[in-house]
Amino acid sequence: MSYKKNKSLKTKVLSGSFLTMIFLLGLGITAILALRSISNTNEWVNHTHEAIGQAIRVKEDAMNMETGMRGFLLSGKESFLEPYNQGLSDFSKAIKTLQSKVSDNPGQVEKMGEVEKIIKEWVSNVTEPAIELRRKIGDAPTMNDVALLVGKKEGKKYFDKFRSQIGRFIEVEEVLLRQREAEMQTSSDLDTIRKNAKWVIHTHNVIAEARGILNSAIDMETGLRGYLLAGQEEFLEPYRSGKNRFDTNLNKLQETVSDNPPQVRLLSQAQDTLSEWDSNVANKMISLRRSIGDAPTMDNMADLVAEARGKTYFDQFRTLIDEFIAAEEKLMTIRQSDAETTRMVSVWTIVVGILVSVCISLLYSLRLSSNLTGHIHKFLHDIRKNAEKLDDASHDLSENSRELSGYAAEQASSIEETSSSMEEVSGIVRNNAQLAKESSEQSYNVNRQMAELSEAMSKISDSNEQSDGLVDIINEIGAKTEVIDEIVFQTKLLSFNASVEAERAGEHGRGFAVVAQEVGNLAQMSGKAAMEIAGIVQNSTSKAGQIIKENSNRVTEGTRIVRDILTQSETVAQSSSKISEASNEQSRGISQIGIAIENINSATQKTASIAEDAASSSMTLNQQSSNLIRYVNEMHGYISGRVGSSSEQDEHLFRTENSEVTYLDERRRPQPTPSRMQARSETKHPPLRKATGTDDLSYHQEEGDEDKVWKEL
Amino acid sequence: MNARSLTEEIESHKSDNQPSQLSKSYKKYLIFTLDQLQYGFPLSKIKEVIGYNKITEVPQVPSFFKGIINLRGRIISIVDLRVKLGQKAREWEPKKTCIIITETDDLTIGAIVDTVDEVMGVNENEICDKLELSTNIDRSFITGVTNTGDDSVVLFLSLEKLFSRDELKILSSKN
Repeated sequence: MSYKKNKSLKTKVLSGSFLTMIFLLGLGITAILALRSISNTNEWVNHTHEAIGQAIRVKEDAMNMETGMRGFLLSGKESFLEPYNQGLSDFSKAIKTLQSKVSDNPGQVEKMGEVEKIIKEWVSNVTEPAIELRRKIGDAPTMNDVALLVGKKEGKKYFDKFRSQIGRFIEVEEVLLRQREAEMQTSSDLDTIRKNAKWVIHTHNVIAEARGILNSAIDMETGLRGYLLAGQEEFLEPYRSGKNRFDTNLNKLQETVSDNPPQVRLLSQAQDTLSEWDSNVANKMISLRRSIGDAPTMDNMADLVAEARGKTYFDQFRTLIDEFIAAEEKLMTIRQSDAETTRMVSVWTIVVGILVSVCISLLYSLRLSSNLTGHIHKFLHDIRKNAEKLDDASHDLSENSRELSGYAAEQASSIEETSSSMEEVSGIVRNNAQLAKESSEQSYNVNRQMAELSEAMSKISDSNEQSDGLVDIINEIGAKTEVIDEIVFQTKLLSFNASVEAERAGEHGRGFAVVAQEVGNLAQMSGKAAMEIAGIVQNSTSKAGQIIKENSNRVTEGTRIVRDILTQSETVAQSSSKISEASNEQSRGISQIGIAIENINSATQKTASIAEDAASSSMTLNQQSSNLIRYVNEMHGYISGRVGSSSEQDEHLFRTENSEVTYLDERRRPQPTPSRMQARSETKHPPLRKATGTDDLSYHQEEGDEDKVWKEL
Repeated sequence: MNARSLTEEIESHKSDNQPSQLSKSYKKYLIFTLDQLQYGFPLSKIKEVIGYNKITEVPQVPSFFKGIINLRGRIISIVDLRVKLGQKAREWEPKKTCIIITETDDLTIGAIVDTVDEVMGVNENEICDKLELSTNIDRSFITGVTNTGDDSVVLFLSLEKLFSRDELKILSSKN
């Protein structure tokens, strides 16, 4: 094998096939050649048969002519000439046909030419003058009895019947022959050809024998008629020999066609007819003719017949025809043996060629297959391993894609929730934005109001300053009061001095003293009033100062607060506007998020559909991988030559693997039914890979189980 | 009080006080205050009451001797009664502090007082001149005490008796 190791597998297989093909081609050519040669030989055999048949027909026609002529001579009735005329016209045609048939054989053609010549001579030299003579004679009185007897047409009646019966038989056989020939033409099988050829030959023989019987019968008739005419015993020779031949030939033919009961029946009827004719007509006529002896009235006629010229011609004709037939039969025997030899040779060639080619092909195939299967087994082993891995992976993939599908569905629902939440958030944000806007507006309002308040505060501050002016006025009043005080003091002093002066004046100053005292009193009262005013002024000044101070403080405080509020409200306004902006931004962001969620949603839906597709694809993949395993197993079985058993085994392997998968699926199911579990345990029992025997029961169970599971899936 | 009522007042005084005023026992006093105590001088001995005047201090004199003033061309010695009466000296208080100028015999003295209150007429029998006090203290300058009816008393002072001869000399020499 080392010199083939480098050649490719293709080359190896092709070379093996080519070798076998070359052998087969050789065989085929040989067989075709053999078939052709057999066919040729058969054709020749047929041809010979046909030639023989034709020769017999020629003979038959000639004898018909003779017997017709003799019948006419005897009876003088034109109707007896019918077979003669018929035979005459048929004869030349038959001779021509036969000559063309045996044109390849000049000796035979020559013989036929001779036969034709003899018959023509016989016709011109014997029959025509005899018929002329018989017509002239008319119904001669001396031969009346014979003529009468023959004129009764009894013999003719029998013989016509017999002729038609034999003709029917021959017709049937010819139909058979045509059928068989056609079969032989279409059949290609050597054996069938041989069988058909045999049958064709057989049929030819049958036809020839039937014709022989007919010839014998005609011999009998013509012999009888010759005797009736001539009255000489030697004319009875054809009758006797014909009778002998008839019986032997008929019995032989009956044996030959024993496979065909209707034909046998027909033959026996023909025999019956002829034997009836023999006993009823021929024997009576012969005895009558013997008793008549040489009658005077038919002398001319009898003389003519007795001259035996016709007999001479006819004997010559008979000899020639028999020779011809014998030559043909000899030829046929040679050809048949040739055919047999050719057949044997071809059969042996084919058998030996087949054996040799089978042996060589077997050897080559063994070596090639052992070489190939080793590699292929290895490859298949690897492929199966990979396919199993693929199967596992596809299972995993299927699981994963199913999970993915589930997750995608969950995600989709989550996204929908998120989307609705986002809408809520969006609403809240819009609300926020609205509120922020409102708050901004309100803070602007507050700002404005605070500005007004600030203005009012500044006005209060102004009025406070005016209050300071008021205090000044009051202080002025106070100052003026001091002036009054001074005046009061001076007035008091003045009153004292007046009192002093009045005292000095003595009696005269008494009234003045009173005035002085009153002035003093007034001064005192004025002083008291001034003092009160001063007190009031002081009080009011201090109070006003306090109030002003407090007011001022409050205004300052208020202004500060207002300022603070202003800044705060501004801050609030800014913050609100910022919030508003941020909310708008947020809203935009949320809408973008919404779009994003929409995208995610569609993506998730796509994911889900993809996951479903993946699931179905993985399912398909799973199936494909299982199929692959099965194919590999089948291939393995195919290569190992255990196609039937191994396929079942591999199927079993495949099934068990699948049932494992379904079991995995089933374990996920919350409550497996007990019967199912039982079935499962049963199916789990046979070993997975090494299962050699085919457990039909478990196999069917698994199959049913698996179908169920697949449906469920 | 309007002029009409004042006139009526004067008339009433003329009619009502006529008998009492005419009696010998009725005398008029100028009431003044020194450290919340009221004192009185007989109005007859008083020449004038003045307000603040610029006092020119005189060196080498007792502490009660405040200085001299020029009153319409006349030089008058000024004493601080508070200091003289052993009381604590006091800052000049405008529109209250007054100088009473007295004239006894030929001696004219200005006495600084806290305030001049009123002119009061007092009957002789209303004055109590015998005070139940310790005898070893010279209190001859208090001529009498009278009750003003509202739980307070007025001390009547005599300036001649208040100052010693030496003091008077100083005062007079200054004049």
